[in-house]
Amino acid sequence: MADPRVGEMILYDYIRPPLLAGEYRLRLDTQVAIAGADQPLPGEDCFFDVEGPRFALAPSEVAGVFPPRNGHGSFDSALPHVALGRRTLPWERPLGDAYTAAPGETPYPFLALVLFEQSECEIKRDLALRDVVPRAVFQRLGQPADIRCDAVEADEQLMRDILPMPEELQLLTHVRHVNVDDRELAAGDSDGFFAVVMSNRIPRDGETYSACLVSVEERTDLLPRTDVVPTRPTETFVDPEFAELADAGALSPSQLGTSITAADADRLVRFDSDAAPIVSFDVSAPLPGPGRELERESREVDFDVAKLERKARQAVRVGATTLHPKARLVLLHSWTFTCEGDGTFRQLMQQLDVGMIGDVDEAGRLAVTDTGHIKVDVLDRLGAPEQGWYRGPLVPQPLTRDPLGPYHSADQARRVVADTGTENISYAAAFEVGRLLAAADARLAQELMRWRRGAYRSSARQTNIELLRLSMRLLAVTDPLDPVALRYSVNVLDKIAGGVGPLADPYDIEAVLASPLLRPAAVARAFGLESTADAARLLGTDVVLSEPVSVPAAEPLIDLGQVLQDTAGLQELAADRRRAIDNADLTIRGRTS
Amino acid sequence: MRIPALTAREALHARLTAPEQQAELEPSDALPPYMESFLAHIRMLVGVPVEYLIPDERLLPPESIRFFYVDRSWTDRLVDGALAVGQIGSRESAHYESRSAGLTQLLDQSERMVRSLQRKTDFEAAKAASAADARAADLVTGFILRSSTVSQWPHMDVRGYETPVAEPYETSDPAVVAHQLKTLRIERLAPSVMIALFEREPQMVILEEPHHGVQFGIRHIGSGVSVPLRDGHGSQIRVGNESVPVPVPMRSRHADVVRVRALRDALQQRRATHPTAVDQTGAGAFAISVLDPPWRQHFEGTEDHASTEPGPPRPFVEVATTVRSAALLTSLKTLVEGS
Repeated sequence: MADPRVGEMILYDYIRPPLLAGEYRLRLDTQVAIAGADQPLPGEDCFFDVEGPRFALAPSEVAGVFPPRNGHGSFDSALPHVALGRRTLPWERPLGDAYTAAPGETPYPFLALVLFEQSECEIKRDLALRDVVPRAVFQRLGQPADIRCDAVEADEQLMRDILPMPEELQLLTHVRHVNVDDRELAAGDSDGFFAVVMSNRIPRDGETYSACLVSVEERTDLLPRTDVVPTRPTETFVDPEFAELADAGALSPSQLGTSITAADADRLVRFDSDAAPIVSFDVSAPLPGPGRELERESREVDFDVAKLERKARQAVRVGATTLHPKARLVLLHSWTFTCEGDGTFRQLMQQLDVGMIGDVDEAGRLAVTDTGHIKVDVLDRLGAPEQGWYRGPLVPQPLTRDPLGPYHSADQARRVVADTGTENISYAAAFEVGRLLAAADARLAQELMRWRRGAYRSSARQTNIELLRLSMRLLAVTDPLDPVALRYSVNVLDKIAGGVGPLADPYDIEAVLASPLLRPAAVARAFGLESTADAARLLGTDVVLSEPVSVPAAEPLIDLGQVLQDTAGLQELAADRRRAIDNADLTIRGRTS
Repeated sequence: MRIPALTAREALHARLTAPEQQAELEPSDALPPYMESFLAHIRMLVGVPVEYLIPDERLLPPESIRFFYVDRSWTDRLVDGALAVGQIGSRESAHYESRSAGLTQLLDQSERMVRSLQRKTDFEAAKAASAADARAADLVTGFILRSSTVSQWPHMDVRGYETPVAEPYETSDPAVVAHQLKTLRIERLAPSVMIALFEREPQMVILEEPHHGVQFGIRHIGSGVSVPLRDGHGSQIRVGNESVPVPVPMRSRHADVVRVRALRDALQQRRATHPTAVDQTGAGAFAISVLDPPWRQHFEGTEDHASTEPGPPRPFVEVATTVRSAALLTSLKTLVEGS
């Protein structure tokens, strides 16, 4: 089934449930033949029930009714109907044995929407099923025990007159598949499928109606088989109960119900002066009553109209019993509405008062500023009453967003109107209602704490990493999300493996190399070489003396007298010598110790 | 393990120079889904008491509809308030201070998933859809409707369009759908009060009678009743400018009870002369024949009040801006406030 597009709907004649409601037996047999000979194997029986609404319907199953519940309006140009949220519901039970449909044929629904004028019916609550349906029907229903249900009670003849025929039931029930994208939220599931049951009666202006969704499962005794009543030019019909009146003196008034009025009597006996005095009719109506039932056969009764009329009038005079048998049907859902005046969707919509928020009726005397603020009474901190401005989130003009967030307390959001010094509490109120909404939600408070705790943890972790990096001189930029311990240990191992030099100097190479005579810079200076590179070449650092080294001509030799006179130089030499001796001493002692 | 701030003066200095104190980290302290969903919902005013939306009953009289813009500052304060729960010290404030900008940005996106969440879409799926929609926050507009239609016709269709669309049109027409604004929220606040929020500013809003409740229309002509002949799409078949009425047969003993089968047969007979009429194959075809198309109410041309004339005079007088003399101001004030 393709989904309907936005604004469209698809109609289906019926959606047949895979299995009708009822009790089922699943028989499992395996046929095995070995060499042509059957080998019987034990089979197995499984039992299961398919259940669905039968004698009661949860209100949540009803997705919508028309005319609206308790509505007042001009509904006289529309057929009442009820939409059910479960698409297969009307076809989940058989109407009766005579009305089963083969696969592919249109099945018969077991639901009917019957429209009664309010005076025509009586809705009875919480009756035993046994008291609602005739005994024969009760047996056909499988005699379910301990079922209590609601029922609608009405004149039996009226029911026969207005109930749809089984073929009409098929036409009055269909499935709609609508697009649910642009709807307000539905309480139940809204897969877009609705089973719709229509009534066949048009409301008349000025009447109040009860619309009753009834179950007609196995009630083929009440459903008419034809909608054509033979009419004769001078029709006289008398309700069959008059026969009962004639020969049912045995019936006690209490079992038959209420008294009849003169109007009832007139309705019962409608005579035409030219009418044939003899009327023939069928009597086949079972009379439901607590624990009592009259099964009557069809028969022809002849009686004298004049005598009957006399008897009826007498009956009225003595305040005798009602003569109409009542019939009851299992009631699944009902609502009332009154057909009067205006009140269609279109009329109501066109009469709406349209405006931007803040548009008020002058008669209301509500002071609203152009910005949509109104004055509200508030108590200040000291408990003194004063007036403040308030505006809700719904405003008449587009506004710019306050960039001064975030706020941490309602007081931060309090504002004062510059002109008058009046306080504007709109945003403070918003803050407080947000706080209350959040505080009312226990789970939110927990999640909020969890969120904060997570942030504190990661913050503490980052600080730790920073400290570690500083104190351990970790060079790699540490991603705070990496596992720290791993990163740290790798770093330490790196240091251990590569960071420390040779542990000992057994041949004193280090010491020799440290001598000033092996330092190219010192040699270059001492000998006045052109560059340290020349000195390095002379010292053999480059292994091979590759290029000639130009040594400047030696200056005139200084004689010993000059040297001796240079006391400062001598002192320096003496100090160097002392240092050298000290060093040697230190080294020797260090070695011997 | 944080290096202790030695003096209060240093602590204050640190707090003032870097109010967030610590850069935000992702994703170890990502917003929990429940919180994100809660905050997105209150952004759409879900759960906010009606008194806060309509502080005075006179702002929304019975049988009225009021259009509005949503004040984003107000909804931001709602979120601030929600996050103020358990804010007992500077640590919590600093935490919120550092995250509020990112949070606002996140909620601007996730507020678009509220409607699908309300319709029981899985959070992850809704989140993915809203995250893919990286547009910046836009105007949020809407209307609030208080009418008996809300209770009597539940589940009416609500749509907002950025340009007026001329009737008749198909709501599913791609050219029309392209102009439809995203619906952020449609919900009943009370049995007869409904709120709807749209993204961006609609030029036309329609309310359509619910489709599953489309009524079966019958016309009274004189003393009899009839139904117009319809084709398979529910449109009336017209000859010239007139529809083709088919009289509705009634039961003889109850003139208000329709002979459904006979009506079906009568409708089928008309196919001989009007072959486009719907073929009466079953209940669905019969329903099409007696359906009245849903009524579609338009609201258009709601101009911005700020730029047009101020509309009907209001009983509020702005004294302070118009009167400069102090003495005159006082006397006027007493006059106005006293009246």
